Amino acid sequence: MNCSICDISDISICFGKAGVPVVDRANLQIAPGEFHAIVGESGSGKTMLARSILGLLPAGGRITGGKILFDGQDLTGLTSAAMRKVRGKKIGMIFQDPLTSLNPALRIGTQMGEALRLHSGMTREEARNHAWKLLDRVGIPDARRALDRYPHEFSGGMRQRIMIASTLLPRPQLLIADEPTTALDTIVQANVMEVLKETTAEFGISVLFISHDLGLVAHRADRVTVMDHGKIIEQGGYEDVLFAPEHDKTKALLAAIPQGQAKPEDSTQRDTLLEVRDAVVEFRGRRSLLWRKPAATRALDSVSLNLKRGETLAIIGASGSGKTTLGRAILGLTPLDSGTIRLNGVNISDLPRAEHRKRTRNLQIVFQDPVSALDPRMRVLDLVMESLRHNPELSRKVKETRTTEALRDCGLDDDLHQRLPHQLSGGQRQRVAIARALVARPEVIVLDEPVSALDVTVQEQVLRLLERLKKDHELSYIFISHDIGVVEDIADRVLIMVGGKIVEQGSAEKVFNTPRHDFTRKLISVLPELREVDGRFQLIYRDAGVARSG
Amino acid sequence: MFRYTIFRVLAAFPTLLLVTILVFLFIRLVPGDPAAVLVGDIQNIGRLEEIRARLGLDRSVPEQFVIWLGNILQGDFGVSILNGAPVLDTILSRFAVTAQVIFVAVTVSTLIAIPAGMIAAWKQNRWADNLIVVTTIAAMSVPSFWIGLTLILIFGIELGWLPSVGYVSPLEDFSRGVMYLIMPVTALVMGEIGGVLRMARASTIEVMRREYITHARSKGLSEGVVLARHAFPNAFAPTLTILGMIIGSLLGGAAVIETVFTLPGLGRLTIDAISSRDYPMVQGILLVVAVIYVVVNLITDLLYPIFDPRVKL
Repeated sequence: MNCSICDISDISICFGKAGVPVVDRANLQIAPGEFHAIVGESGSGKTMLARSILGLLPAGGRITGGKILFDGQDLTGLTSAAMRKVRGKKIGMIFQDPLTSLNPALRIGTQMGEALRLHSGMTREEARNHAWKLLDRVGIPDARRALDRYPHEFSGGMRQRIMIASTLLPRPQLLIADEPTTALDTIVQANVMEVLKETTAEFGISVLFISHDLGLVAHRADRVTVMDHGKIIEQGGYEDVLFAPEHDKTKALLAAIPQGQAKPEDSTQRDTLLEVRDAVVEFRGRRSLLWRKPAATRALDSVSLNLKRGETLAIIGASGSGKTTLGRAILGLTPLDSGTIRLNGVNISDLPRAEHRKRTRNLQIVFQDPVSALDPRMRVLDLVMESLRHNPELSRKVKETRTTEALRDCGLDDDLHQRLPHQLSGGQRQRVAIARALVARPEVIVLDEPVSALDVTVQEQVLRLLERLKKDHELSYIFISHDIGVVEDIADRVLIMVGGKIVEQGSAEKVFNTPRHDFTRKLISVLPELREVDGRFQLIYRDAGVARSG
Repeated sequence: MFRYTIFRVLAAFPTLLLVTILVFLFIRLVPGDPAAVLVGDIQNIGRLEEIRARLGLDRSVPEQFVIWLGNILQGDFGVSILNGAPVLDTILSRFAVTAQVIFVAVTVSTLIAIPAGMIAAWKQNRWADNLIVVTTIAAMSVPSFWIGLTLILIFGIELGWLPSVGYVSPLEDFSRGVMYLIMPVTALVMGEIGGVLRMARASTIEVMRREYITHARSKGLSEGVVLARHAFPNAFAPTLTILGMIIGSLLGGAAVIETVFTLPGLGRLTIDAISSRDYPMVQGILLVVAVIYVVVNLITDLLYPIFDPRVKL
């Protein structure tokens, strides 16, 4: 294509002396004004390919072949001084995690202005003037004053808007956005995407958008490139690639998108297993004076819920809504300020520690991030067996048998027993975390965003595993999540939290099909879903029917 | 911040009280008697008793403590048993000498160690890094008295470039004073630079992995600007803590260096006072040293928010 502004041809990237290439002869063209998405699972090489354009590969990585033509020059052959003239000025980059990609020690104005001043030679005042106007454009309230504030004074969504403004300020021709909204809540994510799409369209900037979220890509992208194991396996207009995929891997990625139908009201009578009444948890700030009570924020505000035997109860909320606090409070990891928690009719909320431990063996938790939830120095077998440590009635032999059973039950072979967490894949690690909960023979497992950190295909496998375990072991789940697709797939009942309060609850079908609260309505309408209808995929808006279809 | 400072100053009082009690008790547990040191003739029982009574040592230890503390609170540190000189004046004049050497040495160490540490981190595992790390370990491994003696041997005796013994205040005669400072400062710098450099290197390595560094590079900034503007403020905070600790401990007396170069500093005063069982002097010194420690650490903590705006005091 001659009209492309960036022409990547036969690029290969290797790490170390001579390893397997992480990107293998990739070809990609970006047309002016185009929104081009690269999708693929983690490790597929999509981030490396994007970073190679600006020569920002991590230490040890290098381009071993191919060309990147941009604006008439081959970027792979540039000296570092010449490359610095391209970076920021002609090609800007937005990173995934807004919490770590803005420098915490520098004021917003300084960080925004420096690229502009460097490339255009503006004075500090001129740069500030441009900066606040753009901040205002991306929706930062009180933009002028924001220049003198620090990143930690803004929320994640606001920081990502600042990031977008900062990158667009020198008016680059191409913007590389590496999973820019993955770390954000659904509604915030939609708003940030809106801003990104609008501003780049307004300034005529091409976007290379890296994502693993096919729904998001189908909604926004003009063209899509699918990567798998370093190779580009499919490329084309978004309708062709996402609605009528040809390659098996693309089909697998699409098939893994939760397609569950919200479950209707369950009329069978079940007994109550866990009951939370008027739970209140407050977090206190610093006391202003020694004798004065410090101001408190209510993380849980009179929360009540019932979990029936054999039920999956989903708790949905934005970050900061108190959903994680609720999960931790149920486990007794965060003490209640008032209210009660009953498990099988016994009040467990104010038991002494040893008694609490004994009474709540049938209550287990699985955390979101399997990397930080597993001790990196312990082996798989010990990690799982540790759950049985406070159970003196069991002999070591019994413990080992039960551990092995639990691991097999979670689909982990015996030859993985002696591995360390870092020697496992993300999906395997989460299976270990689930086995660790399962081995204690629980009745209730609190699952705190158990699949959010996983790739979509792995996510699908873990969800199926959870469903099977639930049937086999008569488990009940409290499933904390912000992802509606996943919740719809697995939940019997849904509970919506906003600002520490439960604002809506009911059967999954009722909540999703006839939402009453504003938050719920926004949540389900803000992003269209990729749904399979008669063997073809379509992008469907909840409130307005089909949005884009092939 | 103001409230925090007040709180920290108030919180220091229990610490200081505990220090004074311990010092008061321990110095009296050490065998030896100041009266005996003064009299010299321990057979002369009557004279010993008389001296003891004059020094107040015939009273019970708690009584002695209360009297001493009462005097301290009125600003009276007492006089040296040994030569009758006022304790506080002696300490302050000796402290001035130590402080000069230490502040110059720490400033020089910091100015070398931080850029060198950051360059080492930037060039991690390349020859520049290895060279810097190996050199530092070598400098750290040599005891400072030996460095001092070697310096004296080479520059003081063989070459005769620098005065090897004694001290002249740079305030009175600047150029001569500086000549006297060069060798002690060099010996101290070589001893202390390693800790600061390794901390600066480690925290810079940590910071360089952060996404905001890649972001800064993606703006087209040069490596120098990335290091100085983006890495330095974030990497400096942990180093600042180390610096505070080094300054605090050295100000309490760099006894070895002061002895090698016969500097009239606080460290040597402490050793002399202990060996002559000069109770008021030892107590006074340790109280002052404790106060210095508290103040230096307070200043370190107050400086923290400058480098990390997320820290609220």
